[in-house]
Amino acid sequence: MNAQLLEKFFAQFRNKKVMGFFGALVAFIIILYLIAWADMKPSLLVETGLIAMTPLALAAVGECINEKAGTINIGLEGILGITCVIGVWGAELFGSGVMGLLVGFIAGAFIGFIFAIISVYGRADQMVAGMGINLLALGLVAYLLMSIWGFPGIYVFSNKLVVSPIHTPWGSLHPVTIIAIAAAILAQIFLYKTLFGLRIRAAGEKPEAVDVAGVSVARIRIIASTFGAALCGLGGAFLALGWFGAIVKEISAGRGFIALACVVFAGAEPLVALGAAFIFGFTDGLASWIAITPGVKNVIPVYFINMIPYIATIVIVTVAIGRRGFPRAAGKPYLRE
Amino acid sequence: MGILINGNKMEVLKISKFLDDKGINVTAAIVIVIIVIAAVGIGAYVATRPAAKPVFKIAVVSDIGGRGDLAFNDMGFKGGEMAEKDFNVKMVELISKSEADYLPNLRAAAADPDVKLVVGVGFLLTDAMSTVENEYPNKDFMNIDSVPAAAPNGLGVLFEEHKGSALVGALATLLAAYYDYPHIGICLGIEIPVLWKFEIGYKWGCDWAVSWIENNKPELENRGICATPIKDRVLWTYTGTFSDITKGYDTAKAMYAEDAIAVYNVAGPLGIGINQAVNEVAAAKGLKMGPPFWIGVDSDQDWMNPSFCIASMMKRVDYGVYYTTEFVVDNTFRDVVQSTGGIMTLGIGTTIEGIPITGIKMSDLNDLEDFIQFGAAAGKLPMPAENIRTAARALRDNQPSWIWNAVSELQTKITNGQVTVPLAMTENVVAYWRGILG
Amino acid sequence: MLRRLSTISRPLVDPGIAVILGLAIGALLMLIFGYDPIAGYYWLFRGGFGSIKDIVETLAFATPLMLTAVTFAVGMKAGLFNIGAEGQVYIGAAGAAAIGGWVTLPVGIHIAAATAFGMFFGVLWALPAAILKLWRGVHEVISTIMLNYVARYLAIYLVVYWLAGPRAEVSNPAMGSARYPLLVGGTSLTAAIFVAVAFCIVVYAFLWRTRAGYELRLSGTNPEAANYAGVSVRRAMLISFIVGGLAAGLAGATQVLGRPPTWALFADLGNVIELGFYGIAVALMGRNHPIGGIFAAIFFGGLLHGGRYMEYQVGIASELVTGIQGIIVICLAVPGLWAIIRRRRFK
Repeated sequence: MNAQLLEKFFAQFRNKKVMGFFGALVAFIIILYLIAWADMKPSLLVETGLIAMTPLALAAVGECINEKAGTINIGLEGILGITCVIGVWGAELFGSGVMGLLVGFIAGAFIGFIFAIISVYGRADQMVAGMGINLLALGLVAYLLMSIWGFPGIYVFSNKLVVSPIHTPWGSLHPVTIIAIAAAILAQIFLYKTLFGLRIRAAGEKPEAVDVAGVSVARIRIIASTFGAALCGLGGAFLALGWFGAIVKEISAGRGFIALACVVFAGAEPLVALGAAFIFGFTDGLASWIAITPGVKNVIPVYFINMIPYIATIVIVTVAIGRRGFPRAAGKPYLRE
Repeated sequence: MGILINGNKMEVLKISKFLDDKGINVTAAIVIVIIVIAAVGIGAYVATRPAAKPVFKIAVVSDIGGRGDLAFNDMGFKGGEMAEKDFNVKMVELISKSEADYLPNLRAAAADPDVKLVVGVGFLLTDAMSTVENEYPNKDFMNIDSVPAAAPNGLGVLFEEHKGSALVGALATLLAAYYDYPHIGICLGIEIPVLWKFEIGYKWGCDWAVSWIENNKPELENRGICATPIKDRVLWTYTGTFSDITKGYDTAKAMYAEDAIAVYNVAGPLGIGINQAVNEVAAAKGLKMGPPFWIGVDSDQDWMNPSFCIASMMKRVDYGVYYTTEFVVDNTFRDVVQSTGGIMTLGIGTTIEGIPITGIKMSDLNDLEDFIQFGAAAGKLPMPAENIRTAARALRDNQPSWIWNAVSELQTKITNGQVTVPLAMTENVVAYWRGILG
Repeated sequence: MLRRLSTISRPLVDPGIAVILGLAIGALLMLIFGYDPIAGYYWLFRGGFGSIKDIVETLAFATPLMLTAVTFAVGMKAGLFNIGAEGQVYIGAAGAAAIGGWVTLPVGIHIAAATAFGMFFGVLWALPAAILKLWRGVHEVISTIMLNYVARYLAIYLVVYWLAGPRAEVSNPAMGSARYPLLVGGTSLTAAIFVAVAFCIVVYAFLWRTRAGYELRLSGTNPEAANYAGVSVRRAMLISFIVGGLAAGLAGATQVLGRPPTWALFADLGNVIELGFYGIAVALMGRNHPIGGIFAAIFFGGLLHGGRYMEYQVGIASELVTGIQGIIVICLAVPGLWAIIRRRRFK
């Protein structure tokens, strides 16, 4: 064995990030062992975790790109809901679940575009506008369920439209999950290794520099916001077309907010956000498991178990908070002085 | 960089300038114009509305989380629709979006001169019902699942869900014994007393079935669910929601992973999540037919997945609404209130005023027909109706007949009073039975 | 005369435009699906404001909204985006239900104590977010949202296991001595509205007539100047969270102690959900002013109440009202919207 190579390998560990990653991986494997020891099938938990991770990851990665460019969209929850409905409508229009996912993607892009326009040109308060989107979705999803399909509160659509996961002997994996993971990796590479990625980050950190270089800050932010929301839209469409096969009024159920937490935790780094999304998806599934396991449930009332993902979010965000990744100019409209 | 809307800009500026010169604020002017247009529009609308003809209406007020559960609340409306057809009445709906809506909804319904019967669907509407029925003594009021305060115009309709739950609990347990599964499951919504009836009934049915196996099929005695300690046989949890279907999915997935042969849905739309979990298990193992199964509730939910939904515990809320309407139409409502003491309990094989009204039933293939229509209204059926019928029949035929016979035996015994299914409506009773059955 | 009108109405222009745009898009949504927008809006507004009984009912709906609006507004004034009203309302309601339903106290004291307890519990739930913000800089958007969810489960747990009476789906109903008297028979309006309005006026006085209030507003608009002037921005933030918690807790208390027919907290929290969320829209419409919030609350209360008539008579799902609120909020996010439209260009 080449001693030099070995040395290089271990040198990496001095890097905090790599250490953190390996540390998390080791911790995760230990947790899996504990779960197996407690007789709660870990492979199934991972499977559920991956599916639950998918909409969170898509929304979070999209928002990472958005925030790196300098706009903050807290309306993810609303986008998930609206694009879910539009995605299903699109699937029925074209008779295909995959087309529905695409329609959801485009619907998300549209919402992101409008948001960008009013944020950049209208100099809107982005937080307020984001809450507006959430409020709008709260009403619109229920209204559309009634108006499009004439039945209040729920819509179960044909199984033909559901995009199903790929089943392997080791478990099932959904193609959209693969897309989500790929999106995170590609986003990370894109942001840090390409010119446009550099521009995006610059637009978030120091928009004046971008402006002086002759590139339009507005255009960068609009593109980032559009694409970011589009990813979120894909996640929304996935909820119904890939996961549940039906829409209910509360289909998004707070996932958009958890995605936001992932972004905060990750400091807007797409790969870390992916990891956070997986943690939350996993905890969610774990919570349900614990709720039915005869020994444990008598000790802890199910309500506290349900709180676990949210408390975990708070703890993680509190402990791991760092403004390391957050662009300095995020959330403020760029005004040419 | 800016966005200009060309063309009309000059025109608008000119008018703007004109008005500004006159010291008239453009804003105020536009607001006034809008108000005028609105007033004219509304005036026109009001003037041209056709005079309403008196119609016999029944109003169905649903609970929060309301419509779209494919179960409880939707059954209420279904009953109204049936009544519309048969009795030539018109049903109007009011959907409560929050508890604050109960009183205003009931009052709005009762205040409508055409409405003769106001139906409140749900346990939580009790107090509101009690208040409003006194405010409108010449209207008739009916409350599903609970009893409003005693009044000559108020009827409460209760159902014996515990008995039906015992039936499906027995069914699931017998299947578990046959297929050698250690558990059965039940997924509940919010922990309210109505749901306690389901929970304890289901567990009791499981216990009865195990005893039945010991007496009649001793060869199955030492395996499967019979070998599981009594308190661990039924996997159960209150998800705390009647609307978040993720919880149904997560819970069911966990239960199936623990080798529960069937999950009983007692949380309305969460059945969709449970269904999803079943589909996943089926796809992963390449199954075309259960086990594993799930059990529907309130309406006949078998149509949602006829190869895996083995049966449903039907709570015929629709009959409750339908027959109450008949009483009102026939003017016998007040008599029924008097003769039943204000409480009409519908169970297995009940008769009211000489009319047999089945309130609780474990679904069979005949019921499926009715509900295929119901499902078709909610969206597309998962497959053509004929396929649904075939699949459902195939699934049932695939189970040994002694299982179905045993359940019938239990039903007979319940109807005759030979066995008593515990009715758990208070904390003490629930705690007692949980102590025994888990 | 028109000139005077325009001076008075200037601060109302932006909310006015937002409302008009919201209603216009709402009408568009109605048209797309074949509903009659004129009929829809006719019944919506007639339902909310068309008769004395309905106006009274609207006021009942407005009561908690003006309070949750204060939570958000007072946060904004201090430079915070505090959307924790949801959770604080739940916990406040639980607190009020505990005293109102389980503890016997003399008449007069009972209701005051129950209300105070509700407000106190509201503050209790506001504190974690405040501490996290001040100690670790955790952004209040994340912390308050997560706390809202935790509060939901905690409140359900409290009702089912601790506060429930003989009927397990509600907390023990408030005893007679803990109930706000009904103001108008045949409606849901109780004297709680007086307490709510009084609270808003007190908050107004606090913000504009006291030194602490001035410091709070200064910290919000210009933190650097505030620091330079020796004002503790952190203390202002803490006060903002506390006032917000008091307001939300009071809102929760009004729903338990001041709302027939049940006078209790439901196990599914149905009588307190969404109040915090709507409060954000109400606050924005009232331009983050406590008194403005009262009028905005009446407006939205009317929409919420009128929505049932719109659904009853025309068949339009009443959730459209919430959708319209969302559009109004988005429009309100753009400062000087009317000016932009007038000038027909973005700068």
